[in-house]
Amino acid sequence: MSAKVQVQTTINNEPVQFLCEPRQSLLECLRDIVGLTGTKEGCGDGNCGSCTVKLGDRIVTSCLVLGVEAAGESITTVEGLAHGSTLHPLQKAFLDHAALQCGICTPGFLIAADALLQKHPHPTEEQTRFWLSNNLCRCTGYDKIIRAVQAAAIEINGAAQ
Amino acid sequence: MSTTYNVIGTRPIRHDGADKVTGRALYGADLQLARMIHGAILRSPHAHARILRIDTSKAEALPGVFAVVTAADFPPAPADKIVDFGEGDTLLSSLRGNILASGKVLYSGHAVAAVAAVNAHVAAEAAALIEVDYEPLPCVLTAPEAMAPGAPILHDDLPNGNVAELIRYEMGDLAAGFAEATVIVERELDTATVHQGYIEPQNATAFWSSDGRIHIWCSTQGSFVARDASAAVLDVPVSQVKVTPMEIGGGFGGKINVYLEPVAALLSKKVGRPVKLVMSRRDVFTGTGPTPGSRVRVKIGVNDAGKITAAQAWLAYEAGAYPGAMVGPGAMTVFACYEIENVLIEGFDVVVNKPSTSAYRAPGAPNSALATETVLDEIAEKLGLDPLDLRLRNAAKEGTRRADGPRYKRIGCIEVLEAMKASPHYNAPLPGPNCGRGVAIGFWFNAGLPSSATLSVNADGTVNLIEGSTDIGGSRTSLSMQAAEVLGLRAEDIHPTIVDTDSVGYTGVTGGSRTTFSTGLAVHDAAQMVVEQMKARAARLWAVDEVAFSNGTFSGNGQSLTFAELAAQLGATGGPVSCSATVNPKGVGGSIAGLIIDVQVDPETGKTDVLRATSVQDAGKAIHPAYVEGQMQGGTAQGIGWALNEEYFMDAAGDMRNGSYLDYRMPTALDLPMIETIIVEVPNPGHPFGVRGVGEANIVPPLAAVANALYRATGKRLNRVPMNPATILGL
Amino acid sequence: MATVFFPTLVRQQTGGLAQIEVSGATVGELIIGIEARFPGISKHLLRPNLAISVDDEVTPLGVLEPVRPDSEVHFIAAISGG
Repeated sequence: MSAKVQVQTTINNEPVQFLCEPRQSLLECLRDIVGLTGTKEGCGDGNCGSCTVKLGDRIVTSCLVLGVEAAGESITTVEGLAHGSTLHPLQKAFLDHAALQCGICTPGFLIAADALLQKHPHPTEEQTRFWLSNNLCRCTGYDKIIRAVQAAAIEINGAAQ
Repeated sequence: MSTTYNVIGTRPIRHDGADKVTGRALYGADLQLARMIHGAILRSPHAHARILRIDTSKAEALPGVFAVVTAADFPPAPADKIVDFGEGDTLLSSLRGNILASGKVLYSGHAVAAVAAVNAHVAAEAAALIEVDYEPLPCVLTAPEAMAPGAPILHDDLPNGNVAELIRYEMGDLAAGFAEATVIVERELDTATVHQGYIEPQNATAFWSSDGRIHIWCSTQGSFVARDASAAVLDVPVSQVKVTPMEIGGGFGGKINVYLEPVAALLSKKVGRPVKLVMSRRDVFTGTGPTPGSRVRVKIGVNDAGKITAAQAWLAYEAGAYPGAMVGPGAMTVFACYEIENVLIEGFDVVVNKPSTSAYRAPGAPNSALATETVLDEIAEKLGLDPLDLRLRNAAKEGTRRADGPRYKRIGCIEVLEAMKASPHYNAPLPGPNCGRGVAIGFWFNAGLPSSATLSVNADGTVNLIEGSTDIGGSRTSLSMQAAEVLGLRAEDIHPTIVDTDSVGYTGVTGGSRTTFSTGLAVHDAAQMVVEQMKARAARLWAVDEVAFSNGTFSGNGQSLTFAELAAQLGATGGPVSCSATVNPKGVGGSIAGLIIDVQVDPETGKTDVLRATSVQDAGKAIHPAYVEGQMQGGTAQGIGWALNEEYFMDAAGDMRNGSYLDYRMPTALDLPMIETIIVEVPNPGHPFGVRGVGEANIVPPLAAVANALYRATGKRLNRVPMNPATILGL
Repeated sequence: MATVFFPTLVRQQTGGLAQIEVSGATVGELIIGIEARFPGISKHLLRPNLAISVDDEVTPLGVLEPVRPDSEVHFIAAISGG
């Protein structure tokens, strides 16, 4: 067990400090050290997207990022999407459209979809599917997820011109 | 049976929705307990080997390690003791053997030892320090190879080499039936091992208290089954074990068996602290229960009028390391959609050196339907018949006798076929070259099994629902809706909680397409009891003999009170109202499902694009249509993945070479179109709202529907699933 | 008299007979009657992995399930699901 490193970072707009071993992934740090268990582990090797978080200005699979890499960065997890008690339009759309069944993939999808809508305010179905293709869902067949994201796009950014 | 409902058929937001979209919901791996330590499992690298020696000393000496366990740590029990969880018997030695190997390892990935340490990293390091001496043995990986003379034998005590069980169903006179046929087609296909692919790996945390009670937290499809299985493995009374079900991230049949729970308990017993075990993704592939690969052969004869005169099936399913390949259901469903007088079905449950298989949605049925539905497709083409018309001419209906004996009660086969025929998809032109459209149908029984529920009325007119069906897809809401319908309330007025095994009556698995039906019946019965008790309170209030209840209002002798108004007066009329019901119902209604699918194949690369898919299913009554649609879409997507890309790629030594989500290729959002759904409702007379289970039947048609579509697109009838580019190109 | 159908593989014990009419008030009584005719057969019919179907419905009561004079009884593979 190697000496722990102190990491200073920002998570969901709050300053956070934690101690971790260099070998611990950001995912592990979020879940087991900081106590934010909303981000999930499905595969540990970047292929399912359940661990997707926003790191700086891009989304990453946090199982492939080391905790020490969070130093000085700004991270958004699913716990940071809602505004106080008010759900983010994506969260609301997922509920309205029944876009979750077991819900394990949902946090990763929400973060990825949020990043998508910030980059493409009016994504087509194909763009939406492409952008979300690193988020695996085994329950829904993706249909209602895509519909929810498209509905949220309209809610957030208005109808496409 | 009333057909206009206030709540049933609407789409309320699920009660656990806010928790699930905010990350607040706690799944098994999210559990944090004081003084909790972490486990890791050492698994066999060999597909078949004798265990000569296990030396755990170096692992135990590693700083941060608390304990190591092997099969030697199970309490002694007779080798031939039989355990029964109500789904058929298993030898205790088989159950234990799959959890921690004893004597032999039977598949690469077979658990051999487990370590508890201060964290998962140290536990994994320690596991790697455990020394195991193996004597490798030859392995066998497919059913035909395992059935061949001279094949390596896995168990010495099976009746017939590696064949654990024979199934045989016979009706009528097969030879006479084939003699009457003018068109006979026979095909043989192989299917590969596939995994349910739930995104959440197995997990379990256990604490063995000094008072002897064992508390287990896990993500499971059945907390009572997990309790009973763990108690059996640990040889303790069930009263000593309490299972708290956490939220569950998918199961599809793969989270009914226990793997980690007893191991975590054994470690906790040694250490006196809670021990958490979570599987890696690779461990999920190699250490849990994929569903059987198979060789299936079907021969069907049809006369000039398009009537099936004879049907024969030969089904060899890979059980994996221990018996239980679900070839029985495969044999019972192979011709279940059709009325056929002359039938012979033979099934073989064959052990092979692969992980011990588990159910995957409608277990056994997709494999056999693949053969039947592609043979019928070929016959339809030879006869110049529309494939749906051929099926309609032979469709099973009420009174049709199935090959295994029973006759159908009301069944929606014709209705599903007609809905497929009338659908916009079926009547749309194909978009271009190298495209093909395929259809197929399938049947699943659905299950009853015991369920319990308790309803307690709150003074504000809402009702608490206590139930034990772990919620994989929104069931706590469809159950709340059933309570609300009876009580004249809104779905939002019911507060469901899924509780542990100490807190509700016995409830069977969330699986088998039974939850909305059976737990729904328990909820319905409890709600009716609540109504009766509240009527009695109103009668007391008004000093009348007769009180009526309708549309949420109690009335008698010219007076009336809403449910909420009367609820506010329960304290004044005698005290709280709380009612429990337990059911173990008959009246199960089977479900027919169909799929229409359009594919386009790139002739150079063999890549298949799915252009359009329409899932059709008889739900009896869709309590919450969005969740029914979700089940249909999910099962269809899984079936498409199974048909086109998914397989366990085993090398000659029996090692899985693609044990990650990169190479075990499940459909992504980019691989699928929107999945249209058509819910057919042929009510099940056995349920007050007409419910048939819907979770499973939708996975039965896709393999064949895709195969039929690929034939239309390429001109090739493929005999191997997955029908991936290499197979399509004939490489 | 209720009709009991023998599973195909059990017909070896009955000389090929596929079904039999027998009287009794419950499935258990029917089996006693069949056992008298074919000694040893009940252990092939009453197995944990076989379910009992009476009048086309799997019964949760097993041998305690009542039967009517025109009932049909089948022994089928116990299925749960996934």
